[in-house]
Amino acid sequence: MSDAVPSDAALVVEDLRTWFLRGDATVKAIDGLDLRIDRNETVALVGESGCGKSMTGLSIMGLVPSGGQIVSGRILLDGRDLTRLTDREMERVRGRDVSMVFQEPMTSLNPLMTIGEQIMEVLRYHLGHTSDQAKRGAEQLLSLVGFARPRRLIGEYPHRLSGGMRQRVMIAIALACEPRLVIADEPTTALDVTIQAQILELLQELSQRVRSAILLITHDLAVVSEVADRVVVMYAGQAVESAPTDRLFDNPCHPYTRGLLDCIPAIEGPVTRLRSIAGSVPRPDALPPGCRFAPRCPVAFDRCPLAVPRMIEVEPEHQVRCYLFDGEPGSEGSPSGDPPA
Amino acid sequence: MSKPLLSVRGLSMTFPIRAGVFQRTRGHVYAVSDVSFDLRRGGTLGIVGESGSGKSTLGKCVIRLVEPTAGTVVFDGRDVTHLREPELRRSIRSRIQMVFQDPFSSLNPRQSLQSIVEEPLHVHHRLERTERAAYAADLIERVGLDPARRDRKPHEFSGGQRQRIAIARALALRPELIIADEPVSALDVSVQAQIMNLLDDLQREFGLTYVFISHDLSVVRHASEDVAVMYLGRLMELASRDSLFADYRHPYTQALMSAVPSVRRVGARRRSRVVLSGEMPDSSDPPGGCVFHTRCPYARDRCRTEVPAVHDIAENHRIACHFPIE
Repeated sequence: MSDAVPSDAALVVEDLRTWFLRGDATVKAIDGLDLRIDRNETVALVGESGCGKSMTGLSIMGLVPSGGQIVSGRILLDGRDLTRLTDREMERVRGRDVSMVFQEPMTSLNPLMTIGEQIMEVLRYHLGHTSDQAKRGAEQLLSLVGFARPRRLIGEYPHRLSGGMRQRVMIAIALACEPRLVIADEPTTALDVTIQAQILELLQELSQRVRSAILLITHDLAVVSEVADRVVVMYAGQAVESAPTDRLFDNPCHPYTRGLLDCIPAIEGPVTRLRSIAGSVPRPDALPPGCRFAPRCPVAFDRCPLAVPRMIEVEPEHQVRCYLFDGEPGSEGSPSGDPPA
Repeated sequence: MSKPLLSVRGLSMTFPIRAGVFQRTRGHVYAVSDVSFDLRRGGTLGIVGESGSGKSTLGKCVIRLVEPTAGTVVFDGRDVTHLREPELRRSIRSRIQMVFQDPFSSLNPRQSLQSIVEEPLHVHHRLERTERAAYAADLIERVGLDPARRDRKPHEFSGGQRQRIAIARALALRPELIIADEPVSALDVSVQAQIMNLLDDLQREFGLTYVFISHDLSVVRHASEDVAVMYLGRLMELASRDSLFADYRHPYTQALMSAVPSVRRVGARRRSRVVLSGEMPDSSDPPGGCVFHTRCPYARDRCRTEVPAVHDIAENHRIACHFPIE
């Protein structure tokens, strides 16, 4: 999949590794991630805390925190490799071609600037708008995200707005330049459930209109099931399963995905004791050998701790990183290749 | 119903807003208004609501971390609403315990696991030193932690393990009632299930009674026998779990239910929802009449002027609405 990039892909991530070198320890936050998002598509990146999903967003944005670096892999946005851009070039890309909506809008909005100034700044910097154009653009964007009186809001400071309103402003800023890709990192986690529903509907509706691809980063499988076209489940820095949303929920294959689905208390049906996954996510500086889920996996067998399994296609567009589905012995140098039960 | 362990009547909590040099009162926040319920021994009452609904303040009133401004809290047949120290400590603090959302900020980072769990025994002057150590080790094991790690500090444990520590500490004095305020909200789903199962086991083993506060309807449904839905400080609906989830009658409950994303409704993906417009009003300036009328899709004139009283609508099913959903 590394050669010709299909023309309908907005984003292709290939074998991405983002590592942090700390003394003699190597923290492999992302360790061999492949990801593809088509135009108009919403792909959800799901996983528990520490699985590397937020770091994926930051890697694409060129915002890896200090101490970390992309040690290998490519990030192709419309065929252009972002990992090769200079800081200067990346500044032009960020906000114009790819933008981000964070979990807590209060910390990502500037508290000293009015809402209007923050939107207008983006329009002036990236699109070269004049002040008048930028002001009109800001008003349009604010009404697009559902504010009834945008003109009044333009002079307000962020602290005067509620969490849900701030998140609307963040979405307005993210969509200002009609980017190729919007990365939404837990956009509704800090919001109440009735507001969450409003924001999710807004994001979907607008991305359709602006024709941006969306990478939705979340820990919440239920949110995913409602808005995503495709789901990538991450565990300990790697994708472990990838499938169209319906297929993932109808036929989850990886034991981790199944475990996650079993953990969620249901809103209807009989109330039974919850199933849980034993143990907890491994620390990225102390990853187990072989399959990273093996120590917690209820169906692990002798092959699992020996080498990292490869991604296997179980049905069209549905891949899983698990030896249960890998009939071929010896893949990726596994010495003992007992076929799975 | 036999005599309830906890009985709350007409409870209100109003905080003054003070401002300026002289800290004059500029207004009031109506955190909890006129809430009543009973909770049987060994039962679990779930309290669900969004931020600003007053659910946490209600919990704090029960354990008397704050003193309510009106109403009564009767615990095990005794009015504890206005108890003072040392009586408060003797009769409330050891019998009612609280578990918070974020175990990291509620645990002293310098204390070891063992001393965290032992501390309540100290304060309440129970047991000799060696007995204390054995008792603590027992509790640590009971909540699923390794007693061999008793000298470790909180930061050396994961989020789920820290919540286990907080639970062990809450259990140290063998309380009868535990108020759990968003006990699993900060945890990953796989760990959330572990902690909910632990709470369930402990309830059976020790005959505990829970007030389980959460913003998450699915979690509350799993944990509770009865469920109270709160909005802007007021009780909207209170019913047994099954009638609330299968046969809710309040428009706010309906909106909450339909807003919950769910993985189980595969066929109904991208269904239309009752999406509430607007946001919860400011609790220092609650709307007149029914507090929900500004966002209620069915609101009529009467809702804007007259506060609906909480009334029985079926057996063990109470509601505060002039026009319940049929």
